[in-house]
Parts: sequence; structure tokens; C-alpha cells
Amino acid sequence: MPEQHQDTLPNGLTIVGEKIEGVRSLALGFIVGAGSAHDPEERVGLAHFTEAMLLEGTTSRTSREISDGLDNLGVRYGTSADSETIGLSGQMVGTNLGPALSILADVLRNPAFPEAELEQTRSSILQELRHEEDEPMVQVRNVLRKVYYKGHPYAKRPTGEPQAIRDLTRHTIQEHHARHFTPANSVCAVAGDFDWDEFRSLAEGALGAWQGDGKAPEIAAPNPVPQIYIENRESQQEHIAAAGPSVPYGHRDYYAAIIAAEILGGGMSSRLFEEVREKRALVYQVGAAYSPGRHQGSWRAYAGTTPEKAPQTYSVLLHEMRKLDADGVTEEEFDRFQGSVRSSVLMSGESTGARLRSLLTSWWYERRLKALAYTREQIDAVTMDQVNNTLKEWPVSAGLVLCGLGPNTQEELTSLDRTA
Amino acid sequence: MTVQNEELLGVEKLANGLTVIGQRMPGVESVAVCFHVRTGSRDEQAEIAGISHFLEHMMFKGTERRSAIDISREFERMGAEFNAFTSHESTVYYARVLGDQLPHALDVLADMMRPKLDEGEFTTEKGVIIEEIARSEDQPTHELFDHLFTNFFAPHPLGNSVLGTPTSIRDLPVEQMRAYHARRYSPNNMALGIAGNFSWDTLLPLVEKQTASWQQQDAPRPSQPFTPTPKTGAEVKPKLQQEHVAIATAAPPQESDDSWAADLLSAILGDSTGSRLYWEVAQKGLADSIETGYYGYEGVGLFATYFSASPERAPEVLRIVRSEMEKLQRDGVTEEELGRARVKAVSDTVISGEASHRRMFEVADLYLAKGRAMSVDEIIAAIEGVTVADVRALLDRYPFAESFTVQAAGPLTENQLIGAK
Repeated sequence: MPEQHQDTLPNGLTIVGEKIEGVRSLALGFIVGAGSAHDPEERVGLAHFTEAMLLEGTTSRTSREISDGLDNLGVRYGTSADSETIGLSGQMVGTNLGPALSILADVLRNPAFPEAELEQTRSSILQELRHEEDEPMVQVRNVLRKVYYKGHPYAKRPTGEPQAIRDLTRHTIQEHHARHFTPANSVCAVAGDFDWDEFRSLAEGALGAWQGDGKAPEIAAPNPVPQIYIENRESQQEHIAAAGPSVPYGHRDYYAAIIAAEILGGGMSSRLFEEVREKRALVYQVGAAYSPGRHQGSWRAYAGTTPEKAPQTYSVLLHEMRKLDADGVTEEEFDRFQGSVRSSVLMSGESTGARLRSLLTSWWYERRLKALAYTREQIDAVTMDQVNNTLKEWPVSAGLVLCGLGPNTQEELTSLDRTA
Repeated sequence: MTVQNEELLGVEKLANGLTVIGQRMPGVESVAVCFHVRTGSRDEQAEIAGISHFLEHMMFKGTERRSAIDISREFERMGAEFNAFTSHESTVYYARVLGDQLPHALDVLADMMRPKLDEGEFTTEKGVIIEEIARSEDQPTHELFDHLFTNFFAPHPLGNSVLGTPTSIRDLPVEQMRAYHARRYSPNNMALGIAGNFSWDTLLPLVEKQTASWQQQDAPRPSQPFTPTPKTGAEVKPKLQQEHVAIATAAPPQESDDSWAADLLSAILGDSTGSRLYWEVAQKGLADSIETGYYGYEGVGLFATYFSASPERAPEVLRIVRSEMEKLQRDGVTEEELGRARVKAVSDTVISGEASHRRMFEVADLYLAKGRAMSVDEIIAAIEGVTVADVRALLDRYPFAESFTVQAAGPLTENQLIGAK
């Protein structure tokens, strides 16, 4: 059984760890509460710009020294940013934990944001934003986020808005870093082959003197307004993406919601796959998932189809969602997907990278650690009635925000859906 | 049976010609198993373009014993992660389950390899393939790589498109697919790869029983000569915001001992972090991304570099790629950068060696490429054995300039991208 550990250093930094037997690698990572939700309205992209500059040099290392240093240790590393957090992580052979931690800690605490690199990064981000426009499947997610979270901090595009990226200054980025990158606003986690006492003392050494007490402000619950939103563009397929409110992180029905969404659209034996793809050949890709969230999670669905088939795809998609709400799930479906959710959780326990992500997010959103054994018990404890009650309380077809990106007009897309 | 039960790594050739390659991983609870079929778009003629990939879809559509729904529901019920993919020269079907489900997973997977190929299902599935083609056209990089392969390899069959065209798919009769399946899915043209929680004593009799009725026949892949030459192709797509550019140059085939040096050379040139192109292009903000990979196939290989840059920057980035290749060609690599590339590759090998599904793909792919099963330690030794002189020899055997092929999609014309001085 893997052991889990948690501790808080005197400066307020939380460290967590999970030892996995039988592996030689480990994954080490940080998340900091400095994501795009905290970007000021006129500076959307500040979080991403800050994230992209982290590896561009510290007060004592050039970008090349950081890169060569990590490469020499065989660390596969990267940064990330989403609505709530900025992340920095690396995967490596366990014996390199100490030197890797000291470089990553320096990157986190002491970025120099050099002027020359700032202009290069600005140009790179502006190109990244243009590239997103070339990928309709990425763009439809951007559109859905904007509409679903309208008026809420999560509406801000995590990769930024072009004008804000053009205007951001070094001073603003430094300020953002100083305000948000503090021990109390961060978590450091490790999963894999390591010794907890040794890790604790390495973390004390590399991060114990880190000062600052800023904390990210509370983010309120989102309040999406149900609607259909169409954006026309030239593309081969009509890309349909939908979201609706569901249970939040840590809710008693959290695992029931995961099972419900899997029955609807997770994998090749789900209802959407069978009805939309297998029987009718309307799409190549169709699916649904439960996406957890603070205060409120969401149901998600996607289908991509050529414009002539879009009205039928749309109507079958909605029909299946309504049917699930009206009739619930069957005993056979429930058993099938409860087993597959349990198995996929257990198998993900074999990956140090997957365990790191789980440690970081469960600490960030729920302030607790979830051992695999605990998660397994929670999944096993779900009943069919609980899944059906969850669907009654949080119907997948109610409160939907539906976005269509592609050639179809709203009239065309909804023409076969009688209840629209 | 020649493999002993306690062996961690083993190869067994069954009486029907099927090869089993396995890696036991004590301490791991899951097990991943695949059928790797030596067939892909390179084994197709123009009138059946896309048949390998279409057949991969049809393999999930039912057998004498199971309907399509039975197959996916059974896998789901045993908690399997399962899927399949088709490349230019192989088609792979896999499932990953917790160890106690292995006999059941094997039964379904082996049953799938002898599909019904029902005409009604076949006609319906054409719609799904045509949607998949449309979707790939909405992904600029996907389509670009397809066109790069065609431009680089044609008339060699590795230039054949994996997906085919809507017309080739619509026109395909079911008899063609039945004949293709009978011809290519012969046990001597397939391998079973497995890694994780299993025992040889249980596995081998089970596989033997499940595949006993499979008939062997010749499944030749005639070797065809390939002489790479520099070419250019640009598709003008005014609606795209970025210019998407892919560059191919010749590289050793997968069976060559040079493949280890080729992997490291591609990492030195264009790994996504810390490589020469990273510092000269991505870190300078000239492109939003740039990356080089080595792809080895039977008898041929290529280095492929991809970047996406604004139309104003793209000609400059392309010139930099060319000049970085010239510099590498002239001066070779340094001890220091080769050392870093080795450490990265070893670290990747150790990490992927811990995951049953990644180790399964690795052990099967390497067996098919090198004709032997390789342990993680043997792979590490091969990586660590590559010297600066080996890379020099590789560069001399495959000079970049002699095969530098450019394929682009975006707002620029070929002249604007390449002709600009």
C-alpha cells in the first residue's frame, strides 16, 4: 500500500508526498494559486506570461543554465497554467531528487524576468494564440469557456488575450509574481521513489527561507446562463461542445457523477458512442465527461460532425441527455461502469505522473489527500440509486450551454430538435 | 515451450507462426497485451487506399461469437483500457487490465482478430471513416504530415495516406476487405506483445488455444527501392493564421544499428526543450513551437521537423532550420550535448519501463525492428553506447541537404516561403 504524507513548513508551505513501491522514478511538482482567474480584466494573459517566463532565468541562473542543469539530471520538465493555478513539474529517476528540487525551487522563487527574454516570450505567446485559431477543436473549447463562465473569473482565456499580451510590462509581471508566488499560496508534492524524511529536509533547505504571505482571493461559484451560442467559421466539421452544472469537488456524489458521465459518454460502450457513432455513423468523435470544479463542477459533452449531419447529431445528443435524466441508468450499465472507473483509478496508481497530479489537485481543491484505497472504497460504495438521484438533482440536460463552431446556423443546427 | 516460467523477458514462436514477446513486471498489478499486425497503408494499392485503417475500425464490429456491442461492453466490464491504431506499416490492437482479467481480455482480443466483416456494418462504418477524414482536415498538423509523407516518399508506398480519401472509402467493396484481411492477418505476420502482471505458464497455453484455428499463409511485403531527393510543396490556405511547416530528411531504417544514434541526433537538433532548434527558434520567439523526431520504418526512415510560425517569420525560421542542419552536418555534435541527450533518453526509458502499456509497445516494436526482445537495461546500454563518432558516421551516411523536403500549409505561396531571400 502506498504511504501518503503531508506537512506544513514553518513559512506556511504545504508539502505532500506519496511513496510508490517498485518504481525507480518520481514526479515532483508545485502548484501556485496564480492562474488566469486572478488576471485583471484588462490584463488577461498575465498568468500565462508569468508562467512562460519562469524558465527564462533566475537571479542566479540563465535560461540555458536551468535547461542544461535539468537535462543533465534527465528531468522531463514543464510549466502549465489554468484558471486557478500555475504549475511547475518534472519527472526523473528518483536519485536526482535533491539537485532537481534545488533548481525548480530557484525557478519558482527567484525568476529574473530578463527584458530580452520578455520580448521573445511575448512574440511566442502571440503566435501560440494565433495557432489556437487554426485548431477548431481548441477554439470551440475557448468559445464554450467564454460563454459558460460569462461574468465569472473562469471566463478569462488561460492563454491570454492578444492585446493584453502586447501591452504587459516587466513591472506588472514582477508584481504578479511577488503577490501570488508565496509559500502560503503554494503546494509542493512528490510521488514515486523517495524517502519522506529526506524529502522534508530537502524541501526545508530549498524552500524554508521562502517568504511572503499573500494568498489568492476566494473565487465565487459560477452562475452559467443556459443558451445556444453559434460562431460561424469555415471548417470541415461542425464542432459542438456543451456544458452544464454538476456536483463540486469533495461532494458526497462526486464518484456517482463520474459514473453517470461515463455511462453517458465515456468510451466505446457508452450511450453516446453507441447511438451517435456506432448505430448512425454521424461522427468520429463523440463523448461526455464530468469535470470537477470548486463550488460547482460541470457535465461536458462534445461531438464533431460534417455540416449535413449536424442537425441529426445535435438532436440525438440532446435526446440521449434527456433520456438519461428521465429514465436514469440501468443496473447492468451501472455495474459495467463502476468496474471500469475503479479499474482505471487503480491502473493510474502505477504512474508517478498521474499520482502527482492527483495529489496536487486533491490538496488544492479539497485540502486533503486521497489514498488510492480510500478512492477505491468511495467508488465501491456508490449505488445505482445514488447515481440516479445525482442525475435528478443535477440533470445533464438542464442548464446547458451549447456552442456550435463551424458552418451551421442556429436554425440549421436545431432544425431536428423538436423541443428546442 | 522454450521460455522458462521465471524468465522476465521472453520470446516464443507458436506452431501457427504467431510470435509472443513478453516482459513480466513483478510488483505491477496491471497487464497490457496487444496484437501487432505487420500491415498498414504501405501495403495498399491505390484502389484500396485507406483499407488497413478502415479494417482496424471493422475489427471492433463483431465476430461469429460477439456483436460490436458485446466487444466494447465486455472490455468495459473488465475495466479495460482498450483501443487500436493504424500507421503506415502496422496496425495494433491493445487492452490494459488488472492481472486477474487477462484471460478474458485475451479471449476478446483474439476473437476480434477473426472478424465477421458484415456488409451492413461495413457500409455504415464508411460514414465514420469519412467523418474521421473531415476531422483530420480541421487539424492542420495532421493533414500536413500526411502530405509530407506523400511528398517525401512517393512513389515508394510509405507515401500512401493512412486514412485514404472519401472516394477510395466510398468505392471500397466488402469482398476487397475480406480478401485483404485473409492475406494480411496471418499469424506469421502478427505478434502478440505483453507486459506487466502475467505468468508464462498460464499465458502460452491460453494463446495457443485461442489462436489454434488461425491459418498461416504468405503475407509478403516486397522491398522497394527509395532514393530521397529534395522537394518542396506548399498548400495555400489563406484562412490559416499561422504558417505550418514540416521538413523531412532521410534517416536510417528501424532495423539499423544507427537508429540509436538517430534518436539522439534528433533530440540534439530538435527536442522540444534544450535542443539547438529550441534555442535558435522557439526560445527566441520566432515560432510558437518547433520539434524534430526520428521515425524508423522497415527499410527506410526519416527525420521530421515541424514548426508553426507567423507568415512574416516563417521564411526566416525555415532558413534557420536549414542552416542549423548545415552546421550539424559540418561540425557534428559535442560530447557535452550528446551526454545530455543520452541522460534524457535513459531517463525516458526508465520511466516508460515502469508503465505496463508503454513497456508492451516498446518490447513489441523493438522486437519487430531488431528481431530480438530487449530488456530495459539493454536499451539503456544501446543508448549509452552511442559516441560522437557514431553520430558523425550517421551524418555522413544521411546528409540532410541531399533529401531536405519541405511541406507547408498556410497563407504563404511556395515562392513566398522558400523563394524569399
